[in-house]
Amino acid sequence: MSQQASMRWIGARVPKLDAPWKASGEVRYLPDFVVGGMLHGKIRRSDRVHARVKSIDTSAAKKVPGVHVVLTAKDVENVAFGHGKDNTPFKGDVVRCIRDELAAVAADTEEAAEEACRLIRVEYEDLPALFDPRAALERGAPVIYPEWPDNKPFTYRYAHGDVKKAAAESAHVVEDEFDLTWVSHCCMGTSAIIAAFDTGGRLTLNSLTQVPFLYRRDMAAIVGMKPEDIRVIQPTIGGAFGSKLDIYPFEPIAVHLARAARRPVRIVFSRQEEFLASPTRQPAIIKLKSGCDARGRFTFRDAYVLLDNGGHTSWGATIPFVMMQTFSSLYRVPHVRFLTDVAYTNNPYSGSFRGYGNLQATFAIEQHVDRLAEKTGLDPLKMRLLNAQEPGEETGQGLKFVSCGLRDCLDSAAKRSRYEEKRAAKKGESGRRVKRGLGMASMLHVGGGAKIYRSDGCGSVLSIDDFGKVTLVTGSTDIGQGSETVLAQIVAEVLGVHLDRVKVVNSDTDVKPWDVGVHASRTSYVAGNSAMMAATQAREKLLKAAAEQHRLPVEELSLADNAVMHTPKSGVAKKLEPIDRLVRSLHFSDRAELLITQAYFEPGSVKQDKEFRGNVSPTYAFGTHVVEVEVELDTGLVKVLGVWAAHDVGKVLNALGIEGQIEGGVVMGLGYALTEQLKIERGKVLNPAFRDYHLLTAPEVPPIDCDYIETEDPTGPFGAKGVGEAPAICVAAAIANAVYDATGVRFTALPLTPERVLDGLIAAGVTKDVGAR
Amino acid sequence: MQPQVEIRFTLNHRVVTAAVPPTMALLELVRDRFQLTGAKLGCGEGECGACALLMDGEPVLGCLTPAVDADGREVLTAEGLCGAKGLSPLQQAFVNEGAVQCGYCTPGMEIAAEAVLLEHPTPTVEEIRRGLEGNLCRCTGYVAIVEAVQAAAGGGR
Amino acid sequence: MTTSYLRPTTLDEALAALATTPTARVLAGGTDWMIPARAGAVPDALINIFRVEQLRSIRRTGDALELGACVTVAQLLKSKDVLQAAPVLWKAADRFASPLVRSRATLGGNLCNASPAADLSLALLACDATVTLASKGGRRSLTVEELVLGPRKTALGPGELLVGVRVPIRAGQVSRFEKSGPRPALEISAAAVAFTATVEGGRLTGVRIACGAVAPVPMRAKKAEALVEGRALDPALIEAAVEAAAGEVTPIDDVRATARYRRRLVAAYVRRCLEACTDDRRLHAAAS
Ligand SMILES: Cc1cc2nc3c(=O)[nH]c(=O)nc-3n(C[C@H](O)[C@H](O)[C@H](O)COP(=O)(O)OP(=O)(O)OC[C@H]3O[C@@H](n4cnc5c(N)ncnc54)[C@H](O)[C@@H]3O)c2cc1C
Ligand code: FES
Ligand code: FES
Repeated sequence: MSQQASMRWIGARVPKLDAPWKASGEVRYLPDFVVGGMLHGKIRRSDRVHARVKSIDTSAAKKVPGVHVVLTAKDVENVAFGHGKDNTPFKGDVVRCIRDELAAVAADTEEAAEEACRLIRVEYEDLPALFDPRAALERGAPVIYPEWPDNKPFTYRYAHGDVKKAAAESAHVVEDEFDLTWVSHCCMGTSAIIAAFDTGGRLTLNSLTQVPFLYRRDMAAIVGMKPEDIRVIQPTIGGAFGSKLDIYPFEPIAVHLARAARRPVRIVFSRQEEFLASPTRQPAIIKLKSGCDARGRFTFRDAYVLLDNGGHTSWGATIPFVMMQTFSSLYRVPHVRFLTDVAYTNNPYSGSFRGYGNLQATFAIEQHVDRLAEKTGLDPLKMRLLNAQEPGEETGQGLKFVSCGLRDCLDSAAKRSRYEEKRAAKKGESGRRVKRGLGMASMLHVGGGAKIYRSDGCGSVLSIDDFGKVTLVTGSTDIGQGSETVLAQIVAEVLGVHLDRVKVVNSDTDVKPWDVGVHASRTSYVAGNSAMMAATQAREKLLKAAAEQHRLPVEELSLADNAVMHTPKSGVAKKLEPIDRLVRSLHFSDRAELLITQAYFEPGSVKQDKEFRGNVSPTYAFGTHVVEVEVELDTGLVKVLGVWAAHDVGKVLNALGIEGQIEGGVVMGLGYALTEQLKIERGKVLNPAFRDYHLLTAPEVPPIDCDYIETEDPTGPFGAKGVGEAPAICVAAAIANAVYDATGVRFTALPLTPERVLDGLIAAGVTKDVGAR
Repeated sequence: MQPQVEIRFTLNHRVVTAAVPPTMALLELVRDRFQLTGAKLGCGEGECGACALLMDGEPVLGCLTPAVDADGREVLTAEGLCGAKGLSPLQQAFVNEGAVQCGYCTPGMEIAAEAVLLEHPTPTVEEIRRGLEGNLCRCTGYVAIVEAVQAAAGGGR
Repeated sequence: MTTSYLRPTTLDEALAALATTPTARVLAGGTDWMIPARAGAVPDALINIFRVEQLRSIRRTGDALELGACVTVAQLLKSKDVLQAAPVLWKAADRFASPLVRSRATLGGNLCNASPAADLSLALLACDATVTLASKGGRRSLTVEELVLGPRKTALGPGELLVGVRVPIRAGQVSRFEKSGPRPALEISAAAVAFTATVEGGRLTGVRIACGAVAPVPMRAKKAEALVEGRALDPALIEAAVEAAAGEVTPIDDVRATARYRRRLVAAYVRRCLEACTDDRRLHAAAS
């Protein structure tokens, strides 16, 4: 698509359009607004991890003053849903994890609803439970679903080349088992919904979903309605990060309550409930074997991944789609095998989370890069450069890298962090109780969506009113990441109007055209291209109309400063006519034409075949992080001194926005690496509070240096690719490599809490234990 | 039954009265009775700072401060930082520096930041970071927030 | 059941109120009390002492620092007297919760809440502080060890209020406060050590090593103290004291840390405290 010589909006530091409203404290999130006659819904969950439900007695609950309805599985048509069709709004006969919903109450006040939930009496008969996916796959293990006697609802097999042969011929081979645990999204706004029926029986959902159209379709099936009778409104949202990609039981429960009570019902999770009952990042056990030849070129990678599916299936079970891309394609590896088993247990279940399996995969792979580098005698940076992908490459899995800035990312992060100098200078610090180390890691992620459905497209409708105000109605969703602003910038740039003339409408399925939703870092790319198409059509219409009216060749006309500009062949540009006047002249003329355009953009990616081969995304994001750490040998505390992040972003669309995405992502990655863990023991969450689930705080955040590699992908809007997920992905791997550099001890499990690190240091003899004398 | 305690205080520059039970949190009073929903219930346990309010110029937790203790005091929420001309300079700096993403933590952050500026009109980066240590943000990684407070203090970059 | 609510403005009023309703719950900053209260644990009477001015003062006399029970952590941090006369208390305040909590969390609340992980109590124990309890009938003084009897258990009698804390000022005192966790603050201690000693002629005297979150109450590592008391430090002696301290604490496993790690932290912190003394120039000069 054509590009203007100098751009006004693209690449600028543009504050988010909704930021002033949010900064004033006046914007209302779901827990902040009430609809007339609204009741409060609360859910009674299981006390057991695996049990037969013998009876549920709701009689006392029903008597609590203010209670309108109490529902259990018996009261509704309990339709199965989800990726594994193994979840239902209420659990009637068997509970399979502590999240399981047994009953729900709608009452005048939250207190009354809570009180009623407490008074519901449940009789259980405990069943043998499973907490370890390895045990779940053993012969004779208790069975969690009779339909899956082997407890194995999904497997994934991918391969290219001949791993066995390559392993035998490799000069160096390393092998490890990595153990990645549960972490929580910790959206500052907890899960919430308001369900309201109107008198005509239409349902309006104020929902936090990231995928409004798929949500509407799935919800319709669950609650027995037609999708077109459901309107999904997406109010401002207090963070998502992937957590709202699936439907969870509380949502249809709100609908059932509203229907039964004939009143609108709002459910808002408490923080504790959010920790207990919202999806987590998928835990994974990764057994990885990797090899290289004598010069350090990768020969093979052989991975076996075991995923704990918990008691029900959500998107966590599908992370192998993304994991295998990193195994097969982050570097050139001629022989790759990737096998995953997904096992039911009685633990909580996992959903999608920014990075979608890639943090786990990258943690394993990038530590192996360092291990092989050490065996080969190469510096980790040289090892990566030697094996890095390049533009034009098609990988063994069929991913096509039209643009690829991985080498530049490696070079930039190394240079800006003074990587080589610092690694060399480290030698003389033996004997000290605090050790410094430097580590690096790289990443690959889809940068323009992922075609996991038949379509990965997005629709746009654009109109310019009589006052020159441009309205873009986009199918896409803004979950706080600032996509709305980027779309407005694209439109403003194409139409030569000031940003304050552009309004983006994106929050109502009754109005907006179809879109898959926010996932796979696709919004800037897919919705951006769609908006750009609609804006380009509008521009052509405007220029054509102006050319006709002013009898000028269209090639001499352009748009800038809210006006049509005329640049005669010989002379300088001058203002011909303001856009609003031009639009009015179309409207109030014989042509009686309104300026409205529409576009639908479908990315040029393909749905992968049964062997998982195919170019699933039209473009890919790459990045490299270098981190510097300090490790206290006596306490195991790891302090991060600096992060240098270099990302192939295609093109910077909003300099302010991208900085925020990268800083936020890096800090999320640091939390994953160092402090965050949802501690689950025998199926129960031990730390459902911020007091014991540690997010990083401002004083702990190190300086973060961001560099953007602009590879200008020819298919992206102005060359951009999506980077929403990228910055969180390789942080933990880089930290683990840095801790190794500092201490000589490798850690294969997260998070690197002081306690875990000290255990490792003592086991390796780096630190002397007390009592060891 | 809990007794209702009559209190009178200044809320965002206006004198208000209310009768409240002694165990009611100030956050609830401000949100539910006065419809000022800028301050959020992020955890209810003092750990996230989304509920932060200014009380006589000191930052407090809305969720753990008894409403009865507002009696005779001056309470400010993020809405109250705005002046007649709109956003305060601090709030505007939050906008300009990209300190607002999902925005859920923003009102609480602004209150904590305002308290930093009241105590240190030209704060060091360390003073800002320590001043915000009770406020969690999941979106921004805090960098832009710290920059916004610096900018508001006239420190620039 | 009706809850009565009182907000006395003077100490006498507060004591009188407590005398008439000895079962009343005292409310100071509420940072500990509000969580159970909001969950429904409502007492029959509530006496709010947070704004009793007499309980809010910080005074430095010749040989002591006198602190009112309702002095907040924020007040401690702003006080030069505290920084100079009781630096270990100041440091504990600096690593305490967050500014949003510090503005209301009080010294008296920290002591009376009697948490095993109470940081101010720990620092006060290391400072050899005494607390004053008052009731309508009179006053008495206790050490921190005498006051804090167990988790959530104190020696406060019915009708009694903790009114103040007295921290002796010792010339030539060195001190250190070590607390676990990557966060500078907003961290409930998995283990903490507060240390004070007086340096005399190259030797440590009056050594107090207080360990937090490793026993039902903040405790002193008395065996370790005895080992180093009056002696010149050398690496072997330090290691012996470290081993002794790690051996005498009685930590438990919980969601924050294992007992094993808590013991290791105590060892690391005691070692840091003692090594810092050998780094102290005054000590070096005197010893050599
Ligand atoms: C987010 C958060 C972080 C925290 N971090 C820390 C930390 O880092 N370190 C730490 O030590 N603590 C921490 N705490 C705990 C708490 O803040 C402290 O224990 C605080 O000092 C309690 O003081 P208060 O005035 O708020 O007590 P209150 O809650 O008012 O009272 C606590 C108890 O003491 C009694 N009481 C209070 N004052 C008196 C008195 N004068 N006489 C008799 N009885 C009295 C009350 O009846 C009540 O039982 C934290 C709390 C929160 C919410
Ligand atoms: S809601 Fe008050 S600190 Fe989280
Ligand atoms: S902006 Fe989303 S939590 Fe801070």
